Amino acid sequence: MSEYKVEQIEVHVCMGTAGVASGGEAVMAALNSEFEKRGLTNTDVKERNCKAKQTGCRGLCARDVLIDVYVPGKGPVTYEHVTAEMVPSIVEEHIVGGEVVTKWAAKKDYFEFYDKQKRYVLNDCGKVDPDSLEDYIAHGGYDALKKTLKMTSEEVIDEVKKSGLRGRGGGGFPTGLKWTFCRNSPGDLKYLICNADEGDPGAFMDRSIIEGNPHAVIEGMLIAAYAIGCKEGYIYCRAEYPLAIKRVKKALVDAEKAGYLGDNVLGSGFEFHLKLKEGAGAFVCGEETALIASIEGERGMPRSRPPFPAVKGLWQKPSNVNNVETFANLPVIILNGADWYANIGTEKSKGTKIFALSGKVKSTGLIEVPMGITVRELIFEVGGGIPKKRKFKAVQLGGPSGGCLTEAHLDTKIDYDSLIAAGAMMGSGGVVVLDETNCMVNVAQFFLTFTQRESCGKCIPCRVGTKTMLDILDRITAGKGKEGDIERLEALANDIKISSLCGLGQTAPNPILTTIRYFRDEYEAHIYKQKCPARECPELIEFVVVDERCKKCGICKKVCPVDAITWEKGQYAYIDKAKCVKCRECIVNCPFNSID
Amino acid sequence: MVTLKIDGIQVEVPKDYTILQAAEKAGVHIPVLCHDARLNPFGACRVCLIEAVGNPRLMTACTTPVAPDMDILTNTEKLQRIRKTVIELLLVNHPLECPVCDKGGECTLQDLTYEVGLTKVRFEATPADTPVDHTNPFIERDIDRCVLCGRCVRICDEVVNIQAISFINRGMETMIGTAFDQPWNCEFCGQCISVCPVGSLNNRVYLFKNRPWNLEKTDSICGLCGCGCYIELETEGNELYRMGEVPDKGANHGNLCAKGRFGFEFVNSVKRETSAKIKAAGEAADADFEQAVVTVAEKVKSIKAQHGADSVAVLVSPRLTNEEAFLANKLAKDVIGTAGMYAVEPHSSFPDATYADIETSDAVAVLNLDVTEANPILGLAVRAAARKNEAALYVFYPSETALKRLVTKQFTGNPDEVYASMTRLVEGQGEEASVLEVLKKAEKPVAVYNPYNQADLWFVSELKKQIPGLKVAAARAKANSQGVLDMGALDAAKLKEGIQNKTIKALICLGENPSVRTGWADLSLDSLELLAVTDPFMSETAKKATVYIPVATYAEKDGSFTNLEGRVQSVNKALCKGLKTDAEVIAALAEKLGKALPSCSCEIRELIRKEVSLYKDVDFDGGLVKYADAVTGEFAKPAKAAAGEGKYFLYPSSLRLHSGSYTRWSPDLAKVYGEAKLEISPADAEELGLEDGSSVSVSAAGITKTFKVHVEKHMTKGCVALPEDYADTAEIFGKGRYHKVSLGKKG
Repeated sequence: MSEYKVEQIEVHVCMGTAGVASGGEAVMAALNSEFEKRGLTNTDVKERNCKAKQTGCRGLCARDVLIDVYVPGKGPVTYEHVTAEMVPSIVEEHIVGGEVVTKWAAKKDYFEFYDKQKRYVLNDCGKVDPDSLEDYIAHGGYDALKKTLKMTSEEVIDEVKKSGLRGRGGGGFPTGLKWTFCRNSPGDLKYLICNADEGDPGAFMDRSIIEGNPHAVIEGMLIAAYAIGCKEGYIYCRAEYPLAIKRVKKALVDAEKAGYLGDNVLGSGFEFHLKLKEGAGAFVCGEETALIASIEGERGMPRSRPPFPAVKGLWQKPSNVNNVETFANLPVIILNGADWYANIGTEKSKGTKIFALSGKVKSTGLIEVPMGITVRELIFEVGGGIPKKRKFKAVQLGGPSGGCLTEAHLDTKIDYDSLIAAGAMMGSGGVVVLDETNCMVNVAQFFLTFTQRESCGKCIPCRVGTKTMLDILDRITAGKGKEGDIERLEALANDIKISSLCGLGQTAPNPILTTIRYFRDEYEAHIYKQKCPARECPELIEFVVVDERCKKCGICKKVCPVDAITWEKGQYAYIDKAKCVKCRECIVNCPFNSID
Repeated sequence: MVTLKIDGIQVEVPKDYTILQAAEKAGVHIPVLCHDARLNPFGACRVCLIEAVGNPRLMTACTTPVAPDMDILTNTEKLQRIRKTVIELLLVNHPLECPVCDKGGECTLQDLTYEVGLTKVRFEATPADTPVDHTNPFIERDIDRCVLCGRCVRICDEVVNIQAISFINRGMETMIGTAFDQPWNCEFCGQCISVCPVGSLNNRVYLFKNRPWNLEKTDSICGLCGCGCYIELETEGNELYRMGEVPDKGANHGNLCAKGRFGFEFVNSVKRETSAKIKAAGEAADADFEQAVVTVAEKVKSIKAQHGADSVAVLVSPRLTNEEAFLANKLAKDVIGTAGMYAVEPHSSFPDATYADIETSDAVAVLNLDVTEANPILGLAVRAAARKNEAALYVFYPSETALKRLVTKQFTGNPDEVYASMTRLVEGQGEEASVLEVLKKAEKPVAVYNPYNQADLWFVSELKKQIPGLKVAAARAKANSQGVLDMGALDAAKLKEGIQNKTIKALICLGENPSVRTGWADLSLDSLELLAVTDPFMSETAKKATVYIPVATYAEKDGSFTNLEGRVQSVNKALCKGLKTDAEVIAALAEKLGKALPSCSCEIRELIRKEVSLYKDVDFDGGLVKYADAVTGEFAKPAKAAAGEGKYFLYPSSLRLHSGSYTRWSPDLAKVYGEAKLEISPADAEELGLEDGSSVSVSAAGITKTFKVHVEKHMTKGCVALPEDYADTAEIFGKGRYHKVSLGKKG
């Protein structure tokens, strides 16, 4: 991957969702007005020609707003936590004065976040302006399409097969093979669908790709459409991603105007029309048959397979559905070649995978790592480890469909097959890190609350079964667990897993099954000892200060919102249970774990 | 064909079979809940999960197609466990009110609970308790009992094509509902009730009246419109409680319409007459049957002696069975000595297209007919063609019809415009030329039309000439409209003429009610020396009768009806109200007139076979009669449709909820649609200051009548419509089918 070179001074401002939420727009405006004020918009003089450019997410969302200052001939300098107030100093000292503002510039720990990453798919995210087709083209955009159009469609499929690319939506089905099913289905009209209905809590991979580099997805779709023989396509994007929708809409218009989409793509005779379809807020529409129903204007409910979409999909026509990240991989594969790609990763999982790292980890954000990296490297090297010196407890991979892994699994390789063997799954790429203060029953309850609410209601095991399991979990976390509840949960979970209609129901019990598998003692403590060992379930906490552990610091008194704690300097703290509302602020903030 | 094994039993089935169908063939029972053979596979309930040896995933038998050499296991321990869990989950929130649930005894959930051997629910059960919904006049809805199998949603969509209901919300909140929780805006066909496996959708006409295990079922044919739907009459003693559908028998595939399903109450009506009446000096007095028959016979004898045989006429209703009509014809011809009986039914149209022809057609034209209202089950066949067979569908009608969701193109406008449009169709001009081309190129083109409108026949016969392969379906109105013609009924125009010029002195009117029939309503019957009327009710004509004899309805007799397809089907006696059948009346009368006629339907059937050549070899249990031509006669190209000077076009509409005089005696139908209402577009209503329920006077052809208004958004501006077969409207339409009328707001 080539380094980004500039001809003029460029300041890249992260304007992904996290960037915008952290004040990216104000920073952008401040830069522009500062350049204006100081006459730094002179296009004739290189040193006085500055440009503020919006870019997509570059990963470390925890430090937003992030900006990169590019001065021709020099490497970029990154500033963290930038606010509009900091802009005049940065312009004054760095851009005008040539001196980096070191107190704000990113330090070693920032770069450690990137050390173990391999950003190929996300390479242009954070470098190109997502609203500019020209900028994309200037960075080699659509070169892969041009290369593709010179190949036969068989050659393209062979290349993708050879690359070993597997579906990034979670299933991990070999992409090239999937394409051949649709390609071999009889019929003139075939549909290509991009699944951008990313709905897992804590997942924002697809969102960041579309927001940061929408043309890469379009280019990937063009490559796939050419290989399969699709004339029409849809990008099904969830409506909760307004920025992604806005950028994709613009990208579609620009691409069509420039001849990348339409009746005759780049004069090659290849025809491909692409439309955007906004979802209506249902998690289950990420399931491909429900997604297809939703495009058709029907209620988003999964359909039984067979017939598979490759045979009878959208409007009964052969259809191929791939995920955003899968499409975004394609230009990289075509440009660099299948052999190059297949060199990255493990034997059966090739290339890189993007993860959304969140939870109890220092560097939360979007990362792209080669397949085969270990869970330990992911959390402790890329993620920087657990904050507040707490102990790592587990990591939930694959969101509500996935499972948790424990300390014993830290050296598990992250690839499709190793994760399944360990009881988790790749899923779409959500990684939620949990520390010792997280109750595993509570974690299962959290995910079940989500899945049962998002069940489409079609099949009984998922609709009623998830709710019944949730009722039991609610009971356990409220201290009303009964003998036999764990066994009831396991029995029901196993039945739901094998009898549900679609992936939602089939995987919804996973968080329960893996937490029971690895943390059965926590469940037992809840039911039989009326204790929540992680002290997260309010009904099972006594809210007493244990004098032996109390260091008399008084922090608990400061954070208690209802003045239920009495403490004097040099004294042990005391909690008045009559006043206590069980908000857990004292427990969370006590540095010595001295409240039980 | 594909060979596979199901529980070790080898079976060979077509390759498009599902595993469930293959299991049926192998004689292996797989339990189902959400499956219904009339609907597309759904796979929601998971009750029919099966295992295929070598495949770790369980599959639903109802959705999975067979594959060669499959080795299917349907009842492994694992499957038994899953089924039990699934049913157990349904019972977590299901109100266990089986003793008072109308579905008790015929509930799939009850049966499955028993079948899987579920005796205890492992989970804390909290039955839901939502108020029952009574906003629909015919359908009671208890959402707590719903198992969300989606059958109601699917039949309303796939078969009826109304899409009144859908799944709403998600997760445990999921329920069947309407957009924005509006009341059900539907055709009230009750198809949803018929597929509901539990007591969630209940028939309000039947509700709390009986228990299913008390009911005796008699196969028969619906006695209302000409569709000829196969039904089960569900009775206890001599009360009719419910219409049962029989999906695997009959051409209607178990489908019924609102009047068929809910309109049977007239059979039980306490307003039915029980005693014959003889009028003397203008006063009708009760008489016994014998007395009444003797009176009629004596009168007939004396009139015949005085004025000759042709002064006596027999008029039969198209509600009589073939056997009764045959007998009536014998009475007219052999006993009295006239040319034959009469029926108020058009004589130029004959059955041609069957439902199967329509359902498998690739191009359908509906000519000047609101088919889903007039003949709902014929309408379902048209819908099936467009929906399942993706046929091109063209509808020519003044207003938008319920087919609008499926049409390729609809041609609406005032009646003159519709006629102009149909003229362009047969002449291959304008936009309609392309429709003609589609029909010509189609493999199985079909046209559906209204045989009661003589002017429309020109279009039908012209199309037939141009498209040799075209099959046509005449939307006959009554249960035996076709049969009475086959039994020899003559064109009643001659009868009318005879009554008008007073050459006919005696009229024996069997079941017919000319006083409310279009073209007859204004005919004075006062000059008749004898008017003998049989009818289950004191009809408008019966009130004028010299002698009135109450008779049985179709539910109380054996016989057969011939439907609009030309399909002959047996009607079976399910109950007895102690009244004579028309056949018995005719036989008794013949006897008094000195000639013995049989009254038993089997004997008559044998005579029919001998004497009616069309019926010589026909199977009376569903056989089709073969007619030589679909339309006979020469027809003139119709001129302008409407006469008159008024501002608005008036045309006769069809009513889904009524099919003539019987259904008005069914209180639940009458509650929803009682008196005739004038349909008008919202724009016209606003101009005239009218709203739903306002009164409006309609002046046409010198007659002024007052009606209540129904504002209907599908009406074309400038057009209004009234139903036929009401006394007031029959008088107007007796002057012509289309009028230009003036409207005046009343009150």
